[in-house]
Amino acid sequence: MKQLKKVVEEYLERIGRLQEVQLGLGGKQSVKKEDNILLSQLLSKQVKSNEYILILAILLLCVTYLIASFFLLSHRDDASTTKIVSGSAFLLILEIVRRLRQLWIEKNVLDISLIMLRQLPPDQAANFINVLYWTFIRRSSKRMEMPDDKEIPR
Amino acid sequence: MNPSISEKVIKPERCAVAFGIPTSWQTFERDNTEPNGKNRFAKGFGSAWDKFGLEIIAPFQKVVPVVTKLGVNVRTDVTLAEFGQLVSNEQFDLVVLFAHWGDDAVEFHDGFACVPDMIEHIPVNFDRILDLSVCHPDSLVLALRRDRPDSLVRHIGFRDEEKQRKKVTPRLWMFFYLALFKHLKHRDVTYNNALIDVIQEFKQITQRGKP
Repeated sequence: MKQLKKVVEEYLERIGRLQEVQLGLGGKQSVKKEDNILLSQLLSKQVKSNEYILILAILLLCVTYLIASFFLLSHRDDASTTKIVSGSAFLLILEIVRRLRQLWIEKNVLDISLIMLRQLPPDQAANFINVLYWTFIRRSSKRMEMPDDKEIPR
Repeated sequence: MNPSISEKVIKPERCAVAFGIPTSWQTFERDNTEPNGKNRFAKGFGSAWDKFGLEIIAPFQKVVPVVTKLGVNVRTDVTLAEFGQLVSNEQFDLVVLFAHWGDDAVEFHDGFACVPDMIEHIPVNFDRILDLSVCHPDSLVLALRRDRPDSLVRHIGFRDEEKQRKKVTPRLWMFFYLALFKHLKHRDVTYNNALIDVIQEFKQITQRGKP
């Protein structure tokens, strides 16, 4: 999500939507089609790289499972080895599943963003990306760094 | 300008802050969805409500309770008429107006007020301080200097097309005023000196933060 956040922030900065709203100085600048095309290209690249990471993660999951199974079967009479292997495998699998979940969420965000960028007029697509950033991407990225996000009052 | 107000020691209990911009979700929603309000401050956020929460509501909720405790009179969702009442009230040596400027007019809760309307709501003999936390209200400042010469007006500075426009970022300025009112509470200073002191302090903090 960090890379997606960075790409979207650069886009929003380019179209003047990232900066703090001032007490004056005119309205929003209009969005050019070229800005949205560039964002689409960058997001498409990210979709591809995420696919590779996804395949890698699934492979790692399978390999972890196989190795753990091998060790458990070959040392099934050794209680301490069994505990260590089970515990380690469990933690590793948990971490891989967590990353897979993040990838899946990011994939959905990327897919929806690409559809909106392609289907909607430039200004409306920009509005969508803007809302997506402030309500989801920014918070999801923060959540990965800090568990509590009480910044925005409700 | 009345020389005595620039030499008078100002205390927070004799200060008022009037917010013309929305400071609540309710007002934000009203302004943001208003069909004829294309220049409204709230419209600048589009549908990104979280951005409004981060830039306005969060600092407002942090700053206002402290400032109120210092004795400052804070008014929100201020209309033009209410602003007029505040500046007419001799209880206040200083009125800070936190508002949005658009189309040569100041935005209040009940809509935009053009410069002549603003001047009309300020007493002719107004000889106290009006602090405009508004982005480049050049024509308003010039009108005040001409039509209300006894007043002391602070503003962000005239727009200079050659230089970068000075920005009035609400979040920054809310914390600036917090520092200012704390300074006024704890020191016996005039408003101009308090401004100088606080600006210096902010500059030093910025310098310290640089690598």
